[in-house]
Amino acid sequence: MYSLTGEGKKYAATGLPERNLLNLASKGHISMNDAKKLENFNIGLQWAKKNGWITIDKGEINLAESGKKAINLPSLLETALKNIEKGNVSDDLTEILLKRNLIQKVDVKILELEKLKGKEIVNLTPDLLKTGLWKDVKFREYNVEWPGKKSYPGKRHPYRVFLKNLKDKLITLGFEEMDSRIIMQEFCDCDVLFMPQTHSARDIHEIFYVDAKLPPVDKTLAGKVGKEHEKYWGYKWDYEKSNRALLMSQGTALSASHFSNLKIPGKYFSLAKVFRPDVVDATHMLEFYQLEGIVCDKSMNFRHLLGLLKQFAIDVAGAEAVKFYPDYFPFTEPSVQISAKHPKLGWVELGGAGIFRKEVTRPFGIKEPIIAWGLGIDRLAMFNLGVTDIRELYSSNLKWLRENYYYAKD
Amino acid sequence: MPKIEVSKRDLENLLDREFSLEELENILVLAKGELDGVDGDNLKIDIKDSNRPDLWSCEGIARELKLRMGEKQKIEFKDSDVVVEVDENLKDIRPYISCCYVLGLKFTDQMIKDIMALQERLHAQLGRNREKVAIGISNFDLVKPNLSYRASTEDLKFPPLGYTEIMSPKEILQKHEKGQAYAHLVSKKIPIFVDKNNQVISMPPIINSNNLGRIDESTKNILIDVTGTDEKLVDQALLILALNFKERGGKVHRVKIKSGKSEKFTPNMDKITVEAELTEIREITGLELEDKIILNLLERAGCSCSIKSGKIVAIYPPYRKDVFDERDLIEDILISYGYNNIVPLKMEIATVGSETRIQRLSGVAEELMVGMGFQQAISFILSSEEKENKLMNHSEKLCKILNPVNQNYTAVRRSLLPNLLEFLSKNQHNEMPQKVFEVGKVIIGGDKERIFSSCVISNSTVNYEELSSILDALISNLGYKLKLEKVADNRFIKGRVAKVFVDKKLAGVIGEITPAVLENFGLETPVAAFEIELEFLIGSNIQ
Repeated sequence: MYSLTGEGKKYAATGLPERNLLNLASKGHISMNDAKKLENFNIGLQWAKKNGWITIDKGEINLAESGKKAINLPSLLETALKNIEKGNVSDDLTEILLKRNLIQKVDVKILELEKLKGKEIVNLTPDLLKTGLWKDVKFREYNVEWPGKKSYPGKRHPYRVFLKNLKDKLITLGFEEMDSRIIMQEFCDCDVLFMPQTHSARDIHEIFYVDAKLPPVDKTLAGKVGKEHEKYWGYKWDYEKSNRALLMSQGTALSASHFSNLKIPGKYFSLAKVFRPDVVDATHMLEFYQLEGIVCDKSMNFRHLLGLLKQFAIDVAGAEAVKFYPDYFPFTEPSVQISAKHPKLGWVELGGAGIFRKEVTRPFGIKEPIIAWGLGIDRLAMFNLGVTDIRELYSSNLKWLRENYYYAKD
Repeated sequence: MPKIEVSKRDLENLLDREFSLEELENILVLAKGELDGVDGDNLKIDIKDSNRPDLWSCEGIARELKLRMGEKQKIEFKDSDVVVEVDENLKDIRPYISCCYVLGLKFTDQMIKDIMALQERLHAQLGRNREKVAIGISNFDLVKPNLSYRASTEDLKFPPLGYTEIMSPKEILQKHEKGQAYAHLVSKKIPIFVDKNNQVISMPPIINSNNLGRIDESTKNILIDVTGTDEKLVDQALLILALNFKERGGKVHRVKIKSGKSEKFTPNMDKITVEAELTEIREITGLELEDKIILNLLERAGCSCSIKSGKIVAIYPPYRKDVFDERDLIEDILISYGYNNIVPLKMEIATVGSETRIQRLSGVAEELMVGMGFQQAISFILSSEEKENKLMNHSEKLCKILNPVNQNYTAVRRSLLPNLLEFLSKNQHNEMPQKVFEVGKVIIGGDKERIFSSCVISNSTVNYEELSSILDALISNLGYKLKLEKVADNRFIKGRVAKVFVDKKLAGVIGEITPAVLENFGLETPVAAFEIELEFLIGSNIQ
């Protein structure tokens, strides 16, 4: 479908420029200068010549033979212009009209739009804007007080947000993150940490062994570690046993794995999964995160250790007060446990720490004292996420994840 | 960590003082104890030190507290002429025995209960279920010295504790419940402890005799035998028991153990000496302590000390077998000083904090997935063969747990997809589409740790292209080029699955999950999924 353009409409009413020129020429001996006063003279001249209606001689326009015939007969193009909106115009003529920009292709939709004039409509569309029809319609008023259908943004998991915030705090305090591992040799998890292969001290936690094939433990280092065991614990240390593969059972193992490329002074942390056999219930899982780290510097002493723990309690766990207790870990001496008074949870056991035993650092040739610390974060996480069952930290309840506003919480 | 129960009244009697619960809580830390629960007179106490069996009883706690509060302690036992002859035949079975007798005891019901509890604790934790240490306590009045510890012969029949019927050692191993439980410790030769008249006192480590080896409230004088495979632990256990009976007013008499040519009196009173530089003590504690103070603090740990050319020499009491070097000494100084009397110091080491590179970059991948409208999931690293392979129509090598405790957790996950499908199956009643992703650790090929990024879309109209364009957006926004290549994979619908290449290296898989797998997870809506390794981000080798 086609419709007349502005120019098309004008010519339909006042005649095509070549028709107007023809009418003028029919009066005889018209000078070019007079004819130029006609509107759109150049177009008229071009098409009148093309139609063979006029001749030009010494500055005068004269009617040609075919021009005389055409005076009282509408041309094919004029007929086409008149009929174009009704259709049935030949392709050639349509093309000429299009070329002369007298008609335009009409979208059926726009014709439909025309029907909307004066009516109330719902949506403002690009077509309404383009055609200017927006001026002739009324927009229906909405119930703007209804917030509409729920939207669900992509979000991080709340537990991940909590863990990331913890990490950010540690990074802010100048701690460098250490790479974490799931599987390792028993050597890294226990032997390096001075836990004897046969003693009840190893009972303070249990271990998941796995069938993974890991590279054998470095024999030189193993020799040094084994010697410390034999000297102090008094038993025959077994290299083969130390090569068994297991799931990391304590985060301190990562710290110890880091001894070989330690910067001094250095502050390191890791937030890693550890695994221990247990009954799975509302307070126990087989895997959980441990926030662990070390500080190594010549000047470190026990008071610094307490200072660091106090800072963690206040800055990381939001505690109001702290208390220290003697504790026991096979790999640290002296050892300490910290309890923190949380504004909502009351006194909570926050973590353990100590100065690595010489028996632990000596095989690595480290002489400076290394502070080792580990914080339990599950109770804080549960409080932060507002859950009462530890398994809910891993929530897969999509409705809860979609609707919980955990991002905005501190 | 050993958990013990004591009577508050009993503890107060031993300490000769009464305490409020709060006071008790505060002084218990001196014995590394933590009050875990109170039920009337009954106190539940956690002893934090698994290396201090001398603290695993009411008497032990009282002994330590008295010392730390400044009381002096004197440990001396009389040597008796009672002898135990040890049969060298037991050398490869259970070679060690320590023995003593205690006179003048007044047993109460509570005391008997406490002794049995301590005995059990020492058996289980110090003795590794009686292998290294087993304890027998008998009525000394019925025993005729001298004594003999030897391999049994068939004619030695006796009634085991709790029975009147006499049995041979072999019969006890077969019929008696304790015999059955511990038969594996004595399979070849059976040790037996007898007196001069060949009366059986006990059959270590299994059972006492019902005749001699039974104590009750009328018993006044007792004989203690400790046998085992670790001489030091055997000696340590006997000493702890002897000290506890001394604490109860008993008179301990040492017994001579003759084994071949060697002879020794037990309880063994050997002491550990530890030396430490005074400067090191001050450096590590961070406290400006005078020499005199240091001596006093160590005496409160039971040490006898002297100072020699800048060094402190501390002789620990014989029951302290947990000390190795300077650091142990320093901890004892600090405990006597009181942890909460120490003023914490702020650390002033300027270091730059940072995340590991792979963590930071996988954080970027997470951010992109969130930006594309995906909800993050977090799941357990532990999984099962059932979930990883069977439900996924797959078979790939897993890192398997050799000692699983729960059938749902028998292996380390090798993919994040099973958990994501499980996530979807739990949320089918929720609004669609559901777009979920996880970034996390897996183990592939049985032993290689990787960080994976996986995602699923569940929707009735979901298709391959919808997800491949997401994958393309992810990879290109991480700064790499994606290439997909047709592949066959049973987890996905044939012809709708491709291998994912990142900068020409194989990195994962993408496709529409096959209906068989959807059925396995109980899913009734189509799912498209991809899974890629993120190691390319730090330039490590890809699968």
